[in-house]
Amino acid sequence: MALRVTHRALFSSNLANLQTNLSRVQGTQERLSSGKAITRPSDAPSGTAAALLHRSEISRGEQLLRNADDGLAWLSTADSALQDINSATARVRELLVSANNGSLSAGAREAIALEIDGLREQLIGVANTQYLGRPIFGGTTASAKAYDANGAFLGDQQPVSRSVRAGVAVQVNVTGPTVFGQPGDDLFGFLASVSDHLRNDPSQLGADLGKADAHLQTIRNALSVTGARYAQVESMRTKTDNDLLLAKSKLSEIEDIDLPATIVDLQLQETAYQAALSATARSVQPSLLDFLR
Amino acid sequence: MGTFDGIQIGSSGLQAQRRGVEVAGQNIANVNTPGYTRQRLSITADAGPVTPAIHSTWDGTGLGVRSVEIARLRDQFLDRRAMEEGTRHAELVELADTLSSIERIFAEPSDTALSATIADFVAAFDDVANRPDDTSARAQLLERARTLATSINQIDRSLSNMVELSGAKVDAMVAEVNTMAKQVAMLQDTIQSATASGVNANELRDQRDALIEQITDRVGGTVRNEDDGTVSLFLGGAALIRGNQSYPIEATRTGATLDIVWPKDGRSVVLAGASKGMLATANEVLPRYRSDLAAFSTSLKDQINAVHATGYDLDGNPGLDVFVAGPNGLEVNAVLAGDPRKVAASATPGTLDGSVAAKIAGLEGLNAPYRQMIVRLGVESQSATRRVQLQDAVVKQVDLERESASGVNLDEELTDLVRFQRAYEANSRFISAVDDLLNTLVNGTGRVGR
Repeated sequence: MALRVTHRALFSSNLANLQTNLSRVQGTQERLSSGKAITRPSDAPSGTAAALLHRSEISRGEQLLRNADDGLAWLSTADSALQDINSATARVRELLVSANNGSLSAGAREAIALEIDGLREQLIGVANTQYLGRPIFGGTTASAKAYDANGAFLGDQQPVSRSVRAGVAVQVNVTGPTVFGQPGDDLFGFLASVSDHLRNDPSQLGADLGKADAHLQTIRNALSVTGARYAQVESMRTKTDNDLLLAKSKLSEIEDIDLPATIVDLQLQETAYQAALSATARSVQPSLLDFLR
Repeated sequence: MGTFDGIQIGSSGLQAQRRGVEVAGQNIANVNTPGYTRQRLSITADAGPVTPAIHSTWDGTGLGVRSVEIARLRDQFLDRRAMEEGTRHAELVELADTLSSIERIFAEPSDTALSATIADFVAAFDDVANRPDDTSARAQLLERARTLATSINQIDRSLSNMVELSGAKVDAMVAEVNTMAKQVAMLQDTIQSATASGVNANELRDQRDALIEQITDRVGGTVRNEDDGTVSLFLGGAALIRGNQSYPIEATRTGATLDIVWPKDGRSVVLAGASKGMLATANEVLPRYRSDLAAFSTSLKDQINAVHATGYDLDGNPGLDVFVAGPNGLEVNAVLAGDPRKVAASATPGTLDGSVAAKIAGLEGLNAPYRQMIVRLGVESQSATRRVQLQDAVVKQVDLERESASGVNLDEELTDLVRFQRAYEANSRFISAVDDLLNTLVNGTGRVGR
């Protein structure tokens, strides 16, 4: 059927076309000014699904990074404390070696005993090293100290762990007994007995030297465990960091607009709109009225 | 053939052409009137008496022209189609609008919407796991729990407000339909009496048809043309309008369910159009999203509570519920909210262990149901919008066809105007000629040789 065209039809279809053009321009401008290709789920349902997933990955990843940073801080605090403990214990061994020489006078042994006492106090101090108010060698203890002034262990042997990747928790503490030996046979009791032997029973010093070596070994084991865990957390952190970057770039791919393409789109649409405007201007003007008489 | 028949012929011509000019004028005047149907003068030649009579002097020449009627150029089938497509369009628009409002309520994806709030809340558990002794981390966790509960409740409230709004809309629409049906009945009454007395009621019919179209947009229905020039509108099998009678409908609520019924027997009205869309959104779409949200909020509550219950708080007491179902929806347990020390982060009483909190932070798939709901919303809204766009094109096409059949084309009317004007001139010239003839007869006869 040949469509009979009326002026109203002409006007309204012209208007509808202009509206369509203008709403396209508006949509593109909205995307351009917000920078987002998806502003509501219906813009791209599958894109929305991916965007939500990536967002939760990013949020989780950022938290895992925070956890890892906290773990690294625990481990590095433990590491520097262990270095101090190691050098103090090494000094004890040196003193024992020199004291084991039977030619020392009682006065000289007393001086060494005094230094050992000092080292013992210093070690108890280091054993109570805190990170953010918690004794790092005290396990999960709620008390502020891992060892009291007499060298008695106050903490527990529970692990302190940090979730550094989905499903992976790394222990970030070493407990007092793994560093200083089990209560009753620990470094502080040993140092007290050394100081006693220096003053009263030098014959025991040879055996003490062997025990000092054993303690040094325990401390170095703890150091290497700490170092290994540090490296583990750090590598996990790097992986999380990479995941996070990937998730962020994917999210941006999905959600963010392609700027040059959008600008070109906008220009094309504006051109189309202008063309439609000028076509409308031409088609709606003339009627027979312009030519009658 | 009588002597003065010539004048009679001329006068019939003048009358017919004048009516033609008037019809063109009426068409031009209504070029922009919505719902106006162009009219056309239907004229026919007057053949004169066809039955021979004894004294008839009929010589076979016609007796001029007669205008038979002024017809409305309207295609009833196009009208039907336009009504059906318009009805469908109104229903789809209602649905698409509601879904897009729901999308605005959820406001995903964004850094501030519910999914981000959930992520913040869960992350706060890790902060507590890292520093179980730090009451500020615990207080932050509780604050975020409160924010999460409030967000969920707010969304639910917005959805329930929309249900109420739909109810109000349905009430208003029913009132509107009843008023319009009454107007149609009154118009038909006038049309009936006008038709009976042979008066042209084209403009009234246009008004009636426009009203009926507005009614079918809202409630659908089928139109039947009656012999007396009126139309009846049926919803299902029951008449909303018949002749000069209209039968009002009524909006009712049974519990939370909205319906539109016939007041006389309480039966549901068979609906289409906007009202069907409104009832569907109020009775199905919105409640479905509310119950999905409620199910998600319950599963969130249960999962968090279950893990939290395995832990011990800073004072060594076992973990309480984090979330409880309150009268206003999800709420943070008031006992917990009052005392951050009661957050159960530790797996062993009396220690600064954080493994339970870490376990909650690592819960997998906590917001998966929510994500699915949002994606479903996106799909549903997208397809509804697309359907509206398609239907839009159909409606436009039908409107165009209808406009093509019934619309006023100015060029055409101007041509008609000129045509009738010229014919009018010619007719008056003819009367002058007859007048001349009579003049010759009356004044010139019998004066031969003067």
